[in-house]
Amino acid sequence: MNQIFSKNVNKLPKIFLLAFIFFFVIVILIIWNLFSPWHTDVGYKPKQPIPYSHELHVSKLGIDCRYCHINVENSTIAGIPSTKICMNCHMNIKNDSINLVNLNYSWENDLPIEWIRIHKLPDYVYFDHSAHVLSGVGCVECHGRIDKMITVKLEKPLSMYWCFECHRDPYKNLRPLDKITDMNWKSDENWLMIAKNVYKNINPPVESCSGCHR
Amino acid sequence: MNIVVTKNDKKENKKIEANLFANNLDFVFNKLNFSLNRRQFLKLIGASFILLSGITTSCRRPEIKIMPYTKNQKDMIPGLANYYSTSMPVTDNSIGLTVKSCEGRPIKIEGNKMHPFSLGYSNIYTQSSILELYDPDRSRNVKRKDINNQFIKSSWNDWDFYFNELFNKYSNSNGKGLSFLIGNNLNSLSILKLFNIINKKFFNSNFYFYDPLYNSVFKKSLNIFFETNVSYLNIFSNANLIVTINSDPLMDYSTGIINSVGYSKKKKIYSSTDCLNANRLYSIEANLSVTGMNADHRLIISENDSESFLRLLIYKLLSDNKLKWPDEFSISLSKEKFLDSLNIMENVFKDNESVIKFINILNKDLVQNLSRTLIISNNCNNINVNILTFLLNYILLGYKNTFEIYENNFNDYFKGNFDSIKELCNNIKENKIETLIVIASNPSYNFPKELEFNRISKNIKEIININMYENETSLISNWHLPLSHFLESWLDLVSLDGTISLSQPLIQSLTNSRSILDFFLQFSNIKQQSLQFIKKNFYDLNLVNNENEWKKIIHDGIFLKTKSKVKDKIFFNFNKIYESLNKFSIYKTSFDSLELVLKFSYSLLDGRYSNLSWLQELPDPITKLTWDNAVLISPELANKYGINSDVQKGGYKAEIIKLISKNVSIETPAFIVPGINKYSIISFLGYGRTNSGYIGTNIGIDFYPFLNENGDFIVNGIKISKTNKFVYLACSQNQLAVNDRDLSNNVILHLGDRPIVRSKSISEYIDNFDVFKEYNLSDELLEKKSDGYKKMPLQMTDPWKYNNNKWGMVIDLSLCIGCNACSIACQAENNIPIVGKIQVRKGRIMSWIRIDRYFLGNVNNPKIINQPMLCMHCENAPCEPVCPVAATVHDSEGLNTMVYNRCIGTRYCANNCPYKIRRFNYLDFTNSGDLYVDRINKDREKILKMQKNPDVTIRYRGVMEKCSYCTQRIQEAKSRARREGLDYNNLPNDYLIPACAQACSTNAIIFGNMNAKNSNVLLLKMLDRNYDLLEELNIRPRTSYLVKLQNINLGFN
Repeated sequence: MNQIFSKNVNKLPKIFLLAFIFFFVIVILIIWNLFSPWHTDVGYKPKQPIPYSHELHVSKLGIDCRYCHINVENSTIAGIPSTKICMNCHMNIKNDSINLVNLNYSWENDLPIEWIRIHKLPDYVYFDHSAHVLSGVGCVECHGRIDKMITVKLEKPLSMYWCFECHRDPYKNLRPLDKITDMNWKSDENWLMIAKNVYKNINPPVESCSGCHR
Repeated sequence: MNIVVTKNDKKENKKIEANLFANNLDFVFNKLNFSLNRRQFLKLIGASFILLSGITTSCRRPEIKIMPYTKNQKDMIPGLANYYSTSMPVTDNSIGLTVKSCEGRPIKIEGNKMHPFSLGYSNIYTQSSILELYDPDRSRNVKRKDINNQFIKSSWNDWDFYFNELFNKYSNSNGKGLSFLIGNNLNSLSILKLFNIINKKFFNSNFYFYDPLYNSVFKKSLNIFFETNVSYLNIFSNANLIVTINSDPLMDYSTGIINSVGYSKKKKIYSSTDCLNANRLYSIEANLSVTGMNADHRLIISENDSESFLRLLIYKLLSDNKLKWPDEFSISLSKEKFLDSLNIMENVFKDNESVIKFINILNKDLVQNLSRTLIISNNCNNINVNILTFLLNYILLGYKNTFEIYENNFNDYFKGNFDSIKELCNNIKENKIETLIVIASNPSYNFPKELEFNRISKNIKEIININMYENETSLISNWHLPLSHFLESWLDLVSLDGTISLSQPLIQSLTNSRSILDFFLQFSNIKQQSLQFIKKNFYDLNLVNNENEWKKIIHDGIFLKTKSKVKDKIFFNFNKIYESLNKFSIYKTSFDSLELVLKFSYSLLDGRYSNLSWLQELPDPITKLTWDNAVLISPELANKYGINSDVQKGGYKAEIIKLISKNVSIETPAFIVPGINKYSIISFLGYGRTNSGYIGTNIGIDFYPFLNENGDFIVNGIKISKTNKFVYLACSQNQLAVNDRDLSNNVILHLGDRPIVRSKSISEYIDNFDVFKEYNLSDELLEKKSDGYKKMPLQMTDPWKYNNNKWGMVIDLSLCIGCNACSIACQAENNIPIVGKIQVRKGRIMSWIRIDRYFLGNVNNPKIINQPMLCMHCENAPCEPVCPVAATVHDSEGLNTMVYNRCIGTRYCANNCPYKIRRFNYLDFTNSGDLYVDRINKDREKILKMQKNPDVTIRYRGVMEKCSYCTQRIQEAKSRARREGLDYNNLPNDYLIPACAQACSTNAIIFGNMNAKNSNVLLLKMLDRNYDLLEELNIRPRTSYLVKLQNINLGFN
């Protein structure tokens, strides 16, 4: 009697099984990738009310981060500069530029500029700028090359996994306290040798939930 | 910086998509003219699913805006809190406060360390006044009655216009027919000045004062005894022997904080010398008060009999010749004549052996502690009791140490509460009053009902009600004007000892209101800002001379004393004293003729705090009752009448009894409390408000009808009858207890050999320093090596070593007076929601720190121990291994942390916690979710959320929570230490303090770093009084307790 199915058909269940596993893994990987902050958040680059260019102000004009973000060393919040800080210069410089319409409007009417928030940690995380800055974490570590951005975008995912990359082994991301705002500074072998001594008391919360969550 | 979330809700989008699709489906099909078979339908559904998921996943997170200031605010750094000094007016006193303000929102109130009536500590009233500020039910509009007698919205312009007319009208008649009724905020230099101006302008007008909390009888007695107008201060810290007579100085509204601070000074027993210096507290009372709970000895007698008791006490004291009759007395009154006036033959106690024994022992003790004794009758409404107290204090040489008298210029205006309102009501009856301006008072509710204010108020042409809330009086008034909270207004206040303190606004008025000073400025027609007026007044009085001094007052919140202490020159008017003492009326109480004692509720006082949910849900210190009041009766009285109130599952099942007096009869639930006089019924005023906002309306029973026009807070000749009706009350303790109790048995709690609450007497301790060893675990159960401070139960693994900070807490049971300040402080700090009466009955109260009250010993005169219970942060925490998602884990500094985001709500941890301190959000108590929306609460929350501490997560439904040792304060302190260049891994001892310990006026809660140098927590943990709760479970709690030491007089044995 003839066989209804050829011998090759015996392979089918195995192929199906393998295909299914393969498919399953792919789906997990896709979800993992697409739903992670790396995919959903990184690159967020909204249009701001004033086309403020960090590249111009930081790279070309050489203004320090702390000229505008005044509270970064003594508060949990670095602080978005008040209109007054912008007007310190723009009272005289390029005051009639079309880009500064919203700025002038804010100044004249005493209304806040409505910046759109880019760097936002998940709810239920309490982040302290001063603690990080005073421990030798540079601005660039979390905010990326702000000095190269014409419009600010989110470069790092700001996820807990990403936080832990540094918290578990902080030394490679630390820098001397006078280089905190330096965007171009690169750590080298020599620094890595002495970093452990400079920051020997550093004790970032790794296992302790209470370090960041309250 | 304000961060505003613009709603771009995914769920909302999804819904709109689905609706659009469903509506358009038929239309589309009809137009395309094709029929739909199963396969096509599935295709379509699949396609739309992909489309929908594509749309929803591509939805970005909600757009959040950051709005910086246009100009930087001075001293304001976003993310860091600011602290400002202000002060709170309380009856005739003021309490200095330090208010934490986050980005312009005051969020937490602490005491001002420099203020003599706060000393940095706080009580439930100062703590919860922050909630009063944000109360959504505060009146927001000027309202007036229109022609149809309907309340309509009006405006300040209308009022100003109307007032000008009124002002002109009364200017012509010099204020004839104009009257003011004032409820609070009196001791102020500015208001005093304005009083004088108004009085001069309208010399025919009248001022009346009524504040039920103000004891005008005590004031009257002071005037009789000292002749001059003085204020009287008890100095607890110097007293070795304290006797309270029907008074509750530890919970007093105006001086409670410093009283308990002083009281605790000599209760801190950490060494054998402390034992010898310990003070002793006797309470003579009918009620079981908070002070009585802490008394070393209580004598339970009717309030009516307290005068008899005091007469007999003084008679015995003087007739034994152990005590000298002062020479300055002999000039005007001989000792014999005085003893005669005590009229001892009529005394009810002259044959009562147990009372005479008590008096003899007490007298011996009093003579031994001469000049270090303090007799207190501040809350007594009996002139003779007060006079005898002053006399006793004087002849026991208390003026040397234990009380101080200050000159008083202010209370001249306070003609005496009840005399004042009697006069007012007489004038109303005689149609003498055309316009009555009611300021911060509520005559419709808290006037004695005998005066029938509501009925006779129709004789008044118009009532202008100025109050923070629309209350009962608003209903009968023609104008209602919103009044500012003290945190919104400028005011200068004078304390009892003459310290001037300043109230400064922390926030602009939230309710379009005006401050009390603004109103007085308007009445006196002074067109000046209240700040300018105060400042000018200070300059005029030469209190400040330059701007720097003024700035310093604003910064410190207080100013130096202005009143002088009256020292040796005390003149006595013995004629009046003699005359008063000769009037001796005795009322004998019995089961047929009971006395009803009216007390102010511990939470709501006279009803002024009835709309504050924190205080409504705060368990009463004695009964642990929430959201209700009931009359307290003794077990003996309950047996006599067969009243069957008892704890049951799902609440306290209270029998409703009927109280019948001559004029009034009221049905009320009865609560059986051990240690109450058998002939007394204790009731609490402040409940039963009929118009008090969303929270406080129609809660409990109003006992004001029993208050008579003379202001006797005691009603004699009460009869009770059973109604056989029952009602369930919500208690925070006992109703979930497992083992049964038997009230007929003498022992109430069977605690076994190793009790949860432990107490010893000091004499036992001095006799035998090993007295606490009886509680120890047997030696074979203990580890050989010690963990730094104490032997621990046996354990297989080595304990974890903490190299950095290591937090710990000690609670001294001798010091905890059960005042609940820690509970409210925690509620304010940690954003703890309230749950409501029904949920409390289900045992779902959310307070992170609760105070358990235990009765021990004789049911008629029990010993009471208060035990604060909060998360113990156990080293071998039983909650941690049972959590399936590791939502509760240890951190590197020994805290048992709760990770809200991980919690899935299995409640295994709460079930495995032996202390039952974990709290579960069964419902959306914080009104933060959108799954189930309670519209009213959601709207209320919009305002209430301004109070929330931004450093603490708001917990949503289905999440477990518990005490975190104020982890946000720990993190803040570490961050602060880093900025200050300190070693944040090893914080100094007193670098931070959790909210409960900060509020605690007796320092019963001590928190600190056990690895710090000279750690006081570690020192206390090394005391032999220190014990771990349920030590045999080897869970190694981080919070431990010190055994309560009572200073028992051996004469009683």
